[in-house]
Amino acid sequence: MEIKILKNGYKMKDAYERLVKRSKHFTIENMDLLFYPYLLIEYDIDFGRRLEKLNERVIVMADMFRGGYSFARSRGSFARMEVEEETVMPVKMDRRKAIKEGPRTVYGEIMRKKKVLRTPDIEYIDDEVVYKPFYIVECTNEEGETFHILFDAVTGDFSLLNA
Amino acid sequence: MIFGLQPHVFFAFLSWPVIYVIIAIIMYFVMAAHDKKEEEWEKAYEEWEKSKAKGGETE
Amino acid sequence: MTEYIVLGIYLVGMIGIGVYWSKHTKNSEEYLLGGRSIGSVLTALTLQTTSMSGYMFMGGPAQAYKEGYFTLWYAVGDGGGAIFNVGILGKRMRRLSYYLGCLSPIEYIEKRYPGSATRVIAGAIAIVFVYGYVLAQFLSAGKTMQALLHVPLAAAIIIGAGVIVFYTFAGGYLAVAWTDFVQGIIMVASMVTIFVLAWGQVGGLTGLNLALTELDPTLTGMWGKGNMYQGQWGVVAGAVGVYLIGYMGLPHVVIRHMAMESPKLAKQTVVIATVWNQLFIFVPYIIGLMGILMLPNIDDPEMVVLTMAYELLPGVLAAIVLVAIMSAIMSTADAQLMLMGTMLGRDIYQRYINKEADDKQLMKVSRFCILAAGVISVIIALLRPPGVFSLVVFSFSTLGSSFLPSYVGAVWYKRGNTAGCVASMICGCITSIVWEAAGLASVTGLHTFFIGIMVSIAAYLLGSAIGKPPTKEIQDLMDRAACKTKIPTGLATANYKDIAPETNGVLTYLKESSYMEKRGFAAV
Repeated sequence: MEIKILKNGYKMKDAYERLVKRSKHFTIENMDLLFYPYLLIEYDIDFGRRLEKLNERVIVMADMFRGGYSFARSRGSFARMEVEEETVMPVKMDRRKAIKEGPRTVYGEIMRKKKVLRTPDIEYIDDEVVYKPFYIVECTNEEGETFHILFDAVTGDFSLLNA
Repeated sequence: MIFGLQPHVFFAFLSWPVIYVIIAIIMYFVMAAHDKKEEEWEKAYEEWEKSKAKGGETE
Repeated sequence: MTEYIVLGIYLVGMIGIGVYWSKHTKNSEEYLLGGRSIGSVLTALTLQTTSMSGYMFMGGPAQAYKEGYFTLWYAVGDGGGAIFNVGILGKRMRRLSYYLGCLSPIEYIEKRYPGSATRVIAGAIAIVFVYGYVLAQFLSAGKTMQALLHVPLAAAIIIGAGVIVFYTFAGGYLAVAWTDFVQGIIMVASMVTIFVLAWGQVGGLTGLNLALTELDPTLTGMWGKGNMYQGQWGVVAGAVGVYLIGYMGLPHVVIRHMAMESPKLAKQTVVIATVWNQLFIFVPYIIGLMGILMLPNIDDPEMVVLTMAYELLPGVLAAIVLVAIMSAIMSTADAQLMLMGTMLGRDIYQRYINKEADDKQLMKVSRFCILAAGVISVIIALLRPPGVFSLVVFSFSTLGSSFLPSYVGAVWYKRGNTAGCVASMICGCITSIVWEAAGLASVTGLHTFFIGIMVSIAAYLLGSAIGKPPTKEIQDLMDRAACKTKIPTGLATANYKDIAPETNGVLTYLKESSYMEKRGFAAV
């Protein structure tokens, strides 16, 4: 199947090197791609004419597998890619529900980051499903025990999957 | 007498600021040592990255 | 007259800083994230000033004035609070809260101890006792206004509360980190000025202590004026514990752990906050002690700092001290009012009254609640104004008794479960209220916080032993938060919180799909 993905800055080899630089005491046994679904929703924040300067377009990234929203800094760049079906995680959340709930994150960001009490209008502009590439990395430690790492192929962040 | 207080009273109340500041400074160095390790790991990777031809495209 | 002018200049100045700042901001992101670009010094100072409140200018010195050195037990606890907090909850709590995917401290409790009872009880306790704090701020503001305007207390409270609510609304969106910073500087500068001048008058620390001993030897003793707490270690343990470990039970303090943005700033922040605490926590109490000598016949001990300012400083500077007190009160009260508004809107209104409420309605409700809370506080304050000190300490110990075992157990005790959490919140809160209301602290020699926390811990352990253990999922998350693995340190300590939610999602997917098998991985 063909999907739209966020471009990955880290190829498999980069990910491999990045992990290996962190520690010498383990071996990487296997590594493969996995695609995580998001809905990028664009909104316009309108504070009214007097606070015009604060008006802007923002993007909320909805996690379409687990639910949950985050405030995105920028859109990023995309590519289209032909991938195998089992590497694509299913969309489990309802798109319309996500669009309806998205503004909460924007309000939350406003409430949390600064003491803004003025209520801005938030207008829905557009949305689309994109996938973010991750690597699943299988490793063994010096005792021969297996553990897995999740590696974000866009940012290079990684975290332990199971410990 | 220490500063006009009986020694046990002085130590009970007024020695704490010094103790707390010392603990805080120790904590600083412990945390700094940890941060430094992290930085070294990051640096090692960056150097490696610089040394190779830049890729960065979708596979 | 001078006071009016100074206060006027101050308010205009605060709004001016806000306007200047908003004009020189390019977009709302920069504006919203104002706090992020500032360094550790500013971060530490603003964090501390918002939590200091009118208590440090009024309640603390008043208690020292009445009880002598004994009151410094509170300072001893307070001074080490930050260290304890970071040391015990610190990183583990941050990791666990990200794994659980939650932003608010009540949400954290709810997700770690799932169940509707958890949320209802935690929310109710938090709202009521954060409100206790707000009420204390209003009382302080009233007293300050009384001194400033020479009007009856009732009128002063209405004016003071009016200023705060106005500031929260109008100043709210202008109140950027810099106004907090300026307020912080004014507060410290005035406190230190009074301290230095009074220091000269009483002949330094030695002079102060000798004179106090001569006046009444018990003032400089371990057990309070007239040895009123002679041998009561329970009271001492409570007084130290309230602020030393009590912080770990405070929702609005715990949230800072969860929000810690840059782990690398944390180390500077700990040092700066600790040094700052030593200065700003011990000093007000010692000023209270100096007051015993310099103002032996004061009517209301809570006015000791203010009266001293008038005696020691020329009119304009004394007025600035007044402004500093208002600063302290305002910077705390607006943050707490905001918190309450959000809780009432989201946790009560949306959950029980209007499930379909959209965010705009929610925000409007929150604002209305802030206003309503303001009005109700004024009414309560007018009916029966208790001491600022006792109200703050009481709210503090009740919050601490209710939440501490749950917050600490959340990361350190794997058996800790919903039953334990609910039991400890209920028992801790009720014990604390009953103990205080019946005045049992002085009868038994056990501080309210001490007994509250003991009962709460016992209830937590008992409930956890009886109730169903936490789900496997939560236990796994706790293990991950604790990094209990034989994984090389370089990998295990990687701290990329941004992908924590995805990690959980991926784990679920890998377990329920055939991905691992098809791609030649070992099972997770």
